[in-house]
Amino acid sequence: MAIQPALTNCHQCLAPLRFSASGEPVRCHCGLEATLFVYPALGRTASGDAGEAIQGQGESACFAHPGKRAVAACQKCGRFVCGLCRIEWGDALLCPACVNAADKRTDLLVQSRPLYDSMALAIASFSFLLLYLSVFTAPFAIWLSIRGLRSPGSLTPRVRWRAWLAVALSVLQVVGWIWLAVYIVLKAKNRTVA
Amino acid sequence: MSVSRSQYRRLPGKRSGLLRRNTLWLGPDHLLRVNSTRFTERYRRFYFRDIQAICLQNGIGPNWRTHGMIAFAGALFVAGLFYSAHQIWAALLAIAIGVYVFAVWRRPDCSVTIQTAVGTNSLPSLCHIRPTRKAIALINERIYASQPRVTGEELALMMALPPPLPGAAQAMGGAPPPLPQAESASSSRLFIVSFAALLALGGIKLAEALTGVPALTWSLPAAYICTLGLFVGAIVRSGIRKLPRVAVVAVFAALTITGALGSASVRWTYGRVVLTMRNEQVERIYAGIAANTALQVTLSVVLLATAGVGLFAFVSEWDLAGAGDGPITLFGAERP
Repeated sequence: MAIQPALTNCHQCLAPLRFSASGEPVRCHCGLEATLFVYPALGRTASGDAGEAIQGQGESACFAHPGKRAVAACQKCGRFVCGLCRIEWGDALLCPACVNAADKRTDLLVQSRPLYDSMALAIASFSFLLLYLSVFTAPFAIWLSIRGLRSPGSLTPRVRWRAWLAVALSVLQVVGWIWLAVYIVLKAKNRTVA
Repeated sequence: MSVSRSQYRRLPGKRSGLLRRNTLWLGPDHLLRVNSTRFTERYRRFYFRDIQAICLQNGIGPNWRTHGMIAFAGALFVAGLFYSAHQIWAALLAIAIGVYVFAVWRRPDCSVTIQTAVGTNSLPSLCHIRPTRKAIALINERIYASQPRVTGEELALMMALPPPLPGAAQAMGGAPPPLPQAESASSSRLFIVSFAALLALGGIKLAEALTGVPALTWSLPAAYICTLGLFVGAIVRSGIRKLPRVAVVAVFAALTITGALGSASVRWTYGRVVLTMRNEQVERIYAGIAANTALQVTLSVVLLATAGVGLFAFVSEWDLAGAGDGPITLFGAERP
């Protein structure tokens, strides 16, 4: 079997790993065994259409590039687009302007999301350790919980018990502070009467 | 209890820690890598039609970061035991040992990287061999359904040939696109300064052990605190994820030694100046250590050696520290 070019490097010693086309695992000189799964996309050339120039009269031009021939129409705004501007967006064909104007909260564009429910639960739980701080943290945790319940949250399936538990703990702390305030006021009143 | 609607299905395997959790999800046309810090989630999508290869490597070596951090915590708690005989230090030490045993027991035994035309990325959630094999079987099904069928011979030919270049590179006459500029070496510079401070600290300690000059004795606690601060600052500023393994070991060794000796030094100096109620037994131990020249010289040599190893690791790896995005490089060094 002929030696094939290196496809990747050893995770341990960074030496190039040489795989055979038969798919057998290979052993690096550092002792680690590696298996490579190769897929047809390895041989695919990335295509990039720069758009063709207009050849004659009667041809539609791209909205953004007047000198280039239109190959499609944006399915959202109807503008003609050339090969360069044509964007496949899920099942639709869009122009760059429509993609730019798309709702940034759409799941296809999301790169990261805050987990407000986890933040709220952590704040509500840890404020039991420093109880004096709960005057400030309890309302904040309630606000975070409500925000967590209303915002889109994680892309992956996620139960909402964290937010509800954070609300319950924070409400408990708020009730405790209200009770303490009422108690102090009533005691002060009683003293004044006496 | 309501569950948010989602198009994703969880794949076997996860890697979680106190402030991180990595999982992998199967989407309708892509694989979703979720890196969570418990309070935020970061997503990375790998479309099935674009995945070129998956590399599974068995038998990953020890995680020096975990070992180093636990050793550092253990050393601090041991130093705490010297400082005061309170049971809390023993309890914390027991917890550190428990965490260490758990970390060794649950250590990853494989690692997986996924390669697309854009680059190579790791899938940290696939770190144990059994769930990894299940996950790869599920991913394979989807990839083969999304990509055109090829014969074994065609696949072998693809592996034999150099990988195709992107369209832009072909337009440039087949020359590969230029490599990205290496990041500045400022991250390793901070560590080099820290190790230089450790070298100076070792020198002061050696001089103090051999000459016994009081000025050196009094300057040692401040030197320890400054060196420790420099190391902590360098780690916070630059992180240790991209450092070479020798450098990580040297950093944690320096932290451990500086932390333990620094605690003892501060306690000794503070005890001689401030404390009015003294524990005779502890004082005797400290005095014995301070009077033992051979031990002091040995400790100085350990400090100097750690600093030397650290400096050597950073200076020799100066060009590499931060030049790449992880240890895996696309198609290695043999790309034409």
